[in-house]
Amino acid sequence: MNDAELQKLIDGYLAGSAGPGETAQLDALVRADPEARRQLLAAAAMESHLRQMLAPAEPCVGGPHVRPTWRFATVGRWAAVLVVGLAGWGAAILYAQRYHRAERALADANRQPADPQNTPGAQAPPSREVQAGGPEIIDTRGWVKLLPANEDFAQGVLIRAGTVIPADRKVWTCPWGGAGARLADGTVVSLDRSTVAAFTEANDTRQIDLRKGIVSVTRRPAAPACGRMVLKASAGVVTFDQAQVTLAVLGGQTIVEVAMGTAEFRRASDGKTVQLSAGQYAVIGAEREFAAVTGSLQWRIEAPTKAGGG
Amino acid sequence: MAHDNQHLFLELFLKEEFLLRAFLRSATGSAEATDDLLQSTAALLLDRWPDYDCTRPFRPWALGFARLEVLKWRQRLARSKEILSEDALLLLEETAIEEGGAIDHRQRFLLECVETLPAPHRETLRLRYGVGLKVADIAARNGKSPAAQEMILSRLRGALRDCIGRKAVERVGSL
Repeated sequence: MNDAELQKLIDGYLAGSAGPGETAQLDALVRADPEARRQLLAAAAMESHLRQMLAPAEPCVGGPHVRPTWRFATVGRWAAVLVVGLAGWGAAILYAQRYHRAERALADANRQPADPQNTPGAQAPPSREVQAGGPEIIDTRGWVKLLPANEDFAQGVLIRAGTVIPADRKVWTCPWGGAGARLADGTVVSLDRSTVAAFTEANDTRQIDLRKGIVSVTRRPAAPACGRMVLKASAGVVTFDQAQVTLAVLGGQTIVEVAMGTAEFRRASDGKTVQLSAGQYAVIGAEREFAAVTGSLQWRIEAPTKAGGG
Repeated sequence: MAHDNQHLFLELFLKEEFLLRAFLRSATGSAEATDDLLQSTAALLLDRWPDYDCTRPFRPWALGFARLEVLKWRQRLARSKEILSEDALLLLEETAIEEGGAIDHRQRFLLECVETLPAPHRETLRLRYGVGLKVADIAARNGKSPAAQEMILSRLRGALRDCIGRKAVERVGSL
């Protein structure tokens, strides 16, 4: 079998269109040929990466203060509900396996907002009507909590998709979780695991203060102008209009990576600024030179203490 | 779990998450099963984390549990779907352990390669992988037959593979 034939077999298998005979043929090749195994793994890696990279992001939806309406009128909305439901279910199982307690309480907490009368020290999540205009959580994985400004964990409440975040609160994601948020202008924000971040808005500037963890923001270059976006960490500030930018505060380092568009990264200690374009990153900390470096993603796959080694 | 150890788990898991996903995808042939199994594997790893020997490499340990999750999945589906054999899974796991770094490294060039494609081709990839449309639906949008559309997608994947390979060779000294 030549390369093209093998690739066709692999493509059919990954597309779910391979018949029994073709799957058996691939199975035999995988067992017999190391190159077939390498090609199958590489094709699966590329496809998984494409799915993550090309996943839809919401463009700006109008003016800076126009909020998207939360209606379940389309297939996409129902799919989102299903995904969120599955994520919550998975989180409940994970918690039960790890700690062997409070299965029912956790499931209840994930299904509905915490009741302040039943949760000592907790505050009820804000309603969408009261807090209209703030960022909205649109997806959660694992535990996601809303913390007060002082980050008093005891006063945090579990939140779910649909919760709108008031300006004086922070979002916390658990070590195996994450969250998606949509700002009032439609900008989509992804909070990775073990992240603590706050959202503020002033005039046409949207700001995310990242205390720790990883936050990614996507504003597609082709989308309507949305005003300035500012990602702020204690070591530096990133500013951009339309770009795909990730800011990470990990292991004493502050890392900015730009996947699309351009961004400005300013170091807080001396005001030095670097311009980053797609495919570049810059690091503050770990005795690294503060400069735009071509390369990407290494920090995601290396331990944070070795960050930025692309 | 102590906080420091929890941090270590995260570092190690994040480092291998992409490879775990690629292994699960190749082992199941299903994007949906991959998502489910990655979740259950993460839960299993976290559950077994206290038993992990930090002097040993994390990747084989994690991939071993991922393969166990695939085997459980196979048992559930054995009568309803043609899937790879246990021997094939074991060999895939070995290859992932040995070649995982290289596979992971090359994928870093994917975004650059996608951006070099003409806009209509990027849109086709977006519809297929970003939106998740079936090939037949994309074909209908583009006024093509499903077979012709599949051929275009196949060529695009081939072009991306070639591009990634070229860039990996070009940058091998700089990265």
